[in-house]
Amino acid sequence: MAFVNHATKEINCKIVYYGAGMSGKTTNLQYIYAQTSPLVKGKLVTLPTEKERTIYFDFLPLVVGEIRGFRARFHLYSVPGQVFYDAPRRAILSGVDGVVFVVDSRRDRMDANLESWENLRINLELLGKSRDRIPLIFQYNKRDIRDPMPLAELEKLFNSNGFPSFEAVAKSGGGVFDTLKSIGKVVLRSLKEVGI
Amino acid sequence: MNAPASVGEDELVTLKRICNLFTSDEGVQLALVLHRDGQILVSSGNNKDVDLTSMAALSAGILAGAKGMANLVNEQEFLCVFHEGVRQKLLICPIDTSAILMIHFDQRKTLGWIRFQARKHMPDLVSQTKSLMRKFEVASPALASSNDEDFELLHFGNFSNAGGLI
Repeated sequence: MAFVNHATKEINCKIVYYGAGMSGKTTNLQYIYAQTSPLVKGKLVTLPTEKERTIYFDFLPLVVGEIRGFRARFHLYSVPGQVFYDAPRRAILSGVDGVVFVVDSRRDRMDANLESWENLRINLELLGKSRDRIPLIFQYNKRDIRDPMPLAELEKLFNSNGFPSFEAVAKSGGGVFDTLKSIGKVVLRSLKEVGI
Repeated sequence: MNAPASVGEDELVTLKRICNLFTSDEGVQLALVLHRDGQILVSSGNNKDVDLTSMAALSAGILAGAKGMANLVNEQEFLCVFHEGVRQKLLICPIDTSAILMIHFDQRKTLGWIRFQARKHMPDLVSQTKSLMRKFEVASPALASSNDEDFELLHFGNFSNAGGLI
């Protein structure tokens, strides 16, 4: 749950980019970091293996402005996608306010996407949260590849709950900020509803 | 007329005073009290050479990971996590379920001394952070008077579709 520091008048929200390995979670954070003013961002912390795969988490703090006197800070995390890293993934998911689920549009990655989607459900339940009720945005990434999985089929496979969704090409930035803005607003609305 | 005190000011002053007890000694560079989510509550010491935000997030992440390891060996949580470099050392301790103490020190101080001090001040740290969290919980909701227009005005990057979609 978001942490409100009433002394410093700050609202701190935690957004986690979740999804299968190599779906583009770290690329999202790298693009946001590259395109954001140094005045509103902290350092991008990445913890990769020797083969540049995220082993624990990536972290990017952003200040997005003020809401009625409270400074809004978003802490963006991406978790390791590989099934093997379930324990660190669950640790980072703890206290999450919103999830961006990054789907790889390559047809041969659908099993991995679905496995990660189910893994998110299990890990949220272990933390006492429901995947159906948490603020969540889908990002269908890698839409620039040849013959991507059609959007309608992706929506049918993953989005039976009708969460907001965006097409993206994270490596060139397409859809990255639309996704971020959408999850930010969904999270803030949700926090307001629960009395934060 | 004095300005009204901010919520939890007394507790934060006390936490800062405890952190200052660490950093007033030679060899202790930094003492932080963090929320479990990695947000800094108070800091003391030489801040200018260290990215405190990243240090706080990593401390919280490391402690969360260590808790997972503790569970694997039937411990609820480790009492501290210690990192030792050639010259620099870090001690990370859970304060209670909501907060963390992180101390950065060098070869002029021993782990034993730091751990002893941390344990000595732990009861005060626990009572102050608990009291602080209780006050934060019952404070007026931060977003109560906000609306969608406020959220629209936030800057989630000014580069929407910068790369062009497809």
